[in-house]
Amino acid sequence: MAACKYCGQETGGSMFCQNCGAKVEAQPEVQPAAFTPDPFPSQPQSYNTIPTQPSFYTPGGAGGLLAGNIIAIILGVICCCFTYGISLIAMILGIIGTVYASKVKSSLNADEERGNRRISRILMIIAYVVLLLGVVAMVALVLAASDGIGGFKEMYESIYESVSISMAEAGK
Amino acid sequence: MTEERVRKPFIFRNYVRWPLMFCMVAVVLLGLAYIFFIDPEKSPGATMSCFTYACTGLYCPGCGDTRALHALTHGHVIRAFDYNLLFPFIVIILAWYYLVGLTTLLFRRRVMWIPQSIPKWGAIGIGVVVVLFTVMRNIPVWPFSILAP
Repeated sequence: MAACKYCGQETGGSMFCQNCGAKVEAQPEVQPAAFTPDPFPSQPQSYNTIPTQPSFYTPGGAGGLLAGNIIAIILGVICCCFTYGISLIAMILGIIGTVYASKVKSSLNADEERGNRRISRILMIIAYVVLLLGVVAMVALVLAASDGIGGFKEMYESIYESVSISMAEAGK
Repeated sequence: MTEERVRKPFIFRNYVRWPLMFCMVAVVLLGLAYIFFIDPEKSPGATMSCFTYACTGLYCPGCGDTRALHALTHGHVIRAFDYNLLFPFIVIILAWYYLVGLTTLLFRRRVMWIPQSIPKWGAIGIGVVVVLFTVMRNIPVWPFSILAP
């Protein structure tokens, strides 16, 4: 039953208030209060949400990177003979590069794949640079210690002969 | 309507791939022919010996490779294992990737399978095997002396 807006008395459904005489239909309509949610609900919220579909990321192939790193490992082993073992550093770099190249295929997103590829590529390049520097340094060192190519051969043969003699004497 | 021409990768262009293939085949054939006719044990000056062994007296993991390759070119597989236990496996892997590269250049796309990943323990295991092999072949006690070239 409507109440008078001026005196608050119930109008009893008539057009004029029985207490103060104000016209009921002329009174301004009261807007209902806006709904405000209770910030502290007594009931816990429901967590029964529809699970989102997992997103599947398909990374690209890394066969070339893997091949480059494996070949760096192999060259690091083979070139050990004439780099005094410096090429073993290339072997270690190749092994780490191989691990990162293998992680490309199991990347979960594009950023991870890009990062793994970058690291693997950098390690592979450094491995080949170390190999090249090892060979160049070895040749330069030997040439600098001798009188060019002819002197290098004589120096090498004398070192080899002396080591062989000492090994033979140690064996006796 | 004009068709857009797709630019080939640099390495697949004819003026690059044909000389590259020729160089790859020529270098390998010449190298194999040289090792086939030259015996490193009978002509030690004709092939490069190990600097590491010459200066330190220790066998590096690559010692015996040349002799093993000479034995392989003559079909003596067991003798190749005797000179360097790891070398035949190295040759198989290198030969496989060599053929992959050659066929990729020839057909302008990869036609042979190559692995896309290897387990982490596999990669680390390679390093461990090489280090163990190097240490064991320098132990002058049987049975480790079998690994010496």
